[in-house]
Amino acid sequence: MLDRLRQHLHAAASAGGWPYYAGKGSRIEPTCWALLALAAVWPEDPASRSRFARPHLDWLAGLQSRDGLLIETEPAFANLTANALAAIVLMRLGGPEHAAVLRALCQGIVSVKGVGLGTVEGGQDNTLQGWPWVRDTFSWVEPTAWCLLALKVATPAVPGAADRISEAERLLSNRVCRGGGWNYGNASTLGQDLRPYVPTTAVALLAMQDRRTDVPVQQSVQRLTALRSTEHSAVALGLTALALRLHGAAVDDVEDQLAEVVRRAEDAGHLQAIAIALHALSADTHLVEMMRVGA
Amino acid sequence: MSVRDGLRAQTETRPEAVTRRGFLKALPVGLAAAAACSTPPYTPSDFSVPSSSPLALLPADSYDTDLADLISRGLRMLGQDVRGRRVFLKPNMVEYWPDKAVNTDPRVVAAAAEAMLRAGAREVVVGEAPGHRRDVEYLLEGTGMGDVLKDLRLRFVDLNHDDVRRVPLKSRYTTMEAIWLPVELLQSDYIVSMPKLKTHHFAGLTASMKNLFGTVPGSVYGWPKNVLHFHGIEQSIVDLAATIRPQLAIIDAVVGMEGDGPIMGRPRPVGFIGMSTDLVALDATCARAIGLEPAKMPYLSVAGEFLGNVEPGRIEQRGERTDRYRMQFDVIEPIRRLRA
Repeated sequence: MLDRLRQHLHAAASAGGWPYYAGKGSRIEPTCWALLALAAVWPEDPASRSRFARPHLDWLAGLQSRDGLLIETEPAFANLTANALAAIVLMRLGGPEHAAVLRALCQGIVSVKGVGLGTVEGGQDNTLQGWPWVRDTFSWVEPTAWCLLALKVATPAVPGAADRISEAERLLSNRVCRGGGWNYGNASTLGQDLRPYVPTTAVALLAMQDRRTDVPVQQSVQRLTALRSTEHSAVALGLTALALRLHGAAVDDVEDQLAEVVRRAEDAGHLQAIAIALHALSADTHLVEMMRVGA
Repeated sequence: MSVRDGLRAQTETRPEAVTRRGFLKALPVGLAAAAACSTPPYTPSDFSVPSSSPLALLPADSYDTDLADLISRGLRMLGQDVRGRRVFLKPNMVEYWPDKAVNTDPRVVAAAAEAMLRAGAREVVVGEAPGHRRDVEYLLEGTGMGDVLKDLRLRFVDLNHDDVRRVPLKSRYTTMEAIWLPVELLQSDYIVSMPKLKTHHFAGLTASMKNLFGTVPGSVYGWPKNVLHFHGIEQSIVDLAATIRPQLAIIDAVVGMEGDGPIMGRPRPVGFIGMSTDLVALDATCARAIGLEPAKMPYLSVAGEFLGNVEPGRIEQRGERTDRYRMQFDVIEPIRRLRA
């Protein structure tokens, strides 16, 4: 099956990048996932892996704007989740020729903050600023988690990153749902507790992998473990497998289910889901090193 | 809605009262003054409100009704010719809660697709850009929509992650000049907004116009389309409706949602499928049916000035009378002021 998924991604590659869905135009996020997935299981020598990755990394680099962020549409709408993933990919797979791009990209990420409201409502501290999906909007869990992870895996440390990392960790801890896990936004709204989403919880746990002793993180690992079979999709199961593995939890049953459902993503031509699945299902060999803090 | 209120709305913690004055206040001074006086933030010649808007309320006590036949009748009542058209059905599929009436029922979507194909549509495509969930595979599986589409061999388009194109806005209540929209939507020549009838804790009502938030790609604007919240939910509703201009709306009001909609409310049987070529007329009629006053809802009253008809006297009922379905939906305190 891993060969099949690999072939699927190889066949869908353009001269530069991958689309979310087969037949569409290249986008940052699926390009990053495809590169991570294929590079982690590259069967040949590192030099051939670099040759393969080069045009796709160059395509990413070509999207960089003056503020350092990669732009798919227009500068106001730089997607911070996609940019954080691109930073991780350039750190792990980029060569010296990408160093300047990576430096500017990391600075661009550090420079963007979610809008703070200066209020605490229903236990939610809206003074905390993580990352928004796009600049000048509120901080949300997923972009905050990806940007946090990107800054944590960066070596050497990005100037100005330490304070942003600390505040983002506090934001994620503050947004944990009652009983653990993360909804995509708040933990509650209008007095009602919101339930955690499986993929969002998994992404937040990837970012909090080095905070295993924090109570909110421990609760969230338990919650994700309990919910791991409730969302039957390649994305939910794939991210869950990656996150739980990085937190040292057993993932065999998650991977079994993922292997069952991935055909649906293949039928839909959902390349990002296929790439996430490939990365998760091959993790026995690569141990998720590319997303590991301190690796 | 002021910028501050817009920010507050993003956090989904506290809905704010939005008045028509507040609606216009979000505009820069020049535009707000123009909108309040003689020059609105759109080109009047781009729009023409018909003297009368046809609308069909069709009885459906349950989803076991022959909905395809019902919608076929509705198409004939409204004089719609879809022969040779590429029809795009845009249901509401924002979230999945097994015990809540959050989404357009898949059986209504299936029925609309069947009716369109029977009427000669060249192709029917179903698409949605869920505003909360990124994972459409999960939503399709959970809601049962995936099975329905598979049975009918219909293609689903994940509008959050489709290719996008920049489109100038036809009205600029948000003050934005353009919006990025999915190419699959723009390539369709007959767009059908297919909402669920629900209360909305900020806008009062979510129906065929608000449903168009679900055409806006999250991969550009984030989840929950945060940029639009920042520019004002109600202003965005008007600008999207003015720009996308769906040819038809079919609302699932077999079972609606009352209380803290559009996600956390309770199911409430209503008993009809509503159809109109005028989204404003359909939304105004639905508001009246559930005990809300359209004139108190800024986005409807502004839309009534250039997009469609709000006044009952200008809405031509071709099915059942609204009175047959009139009821009082429970609403949360912040939107009680919208009651008739």
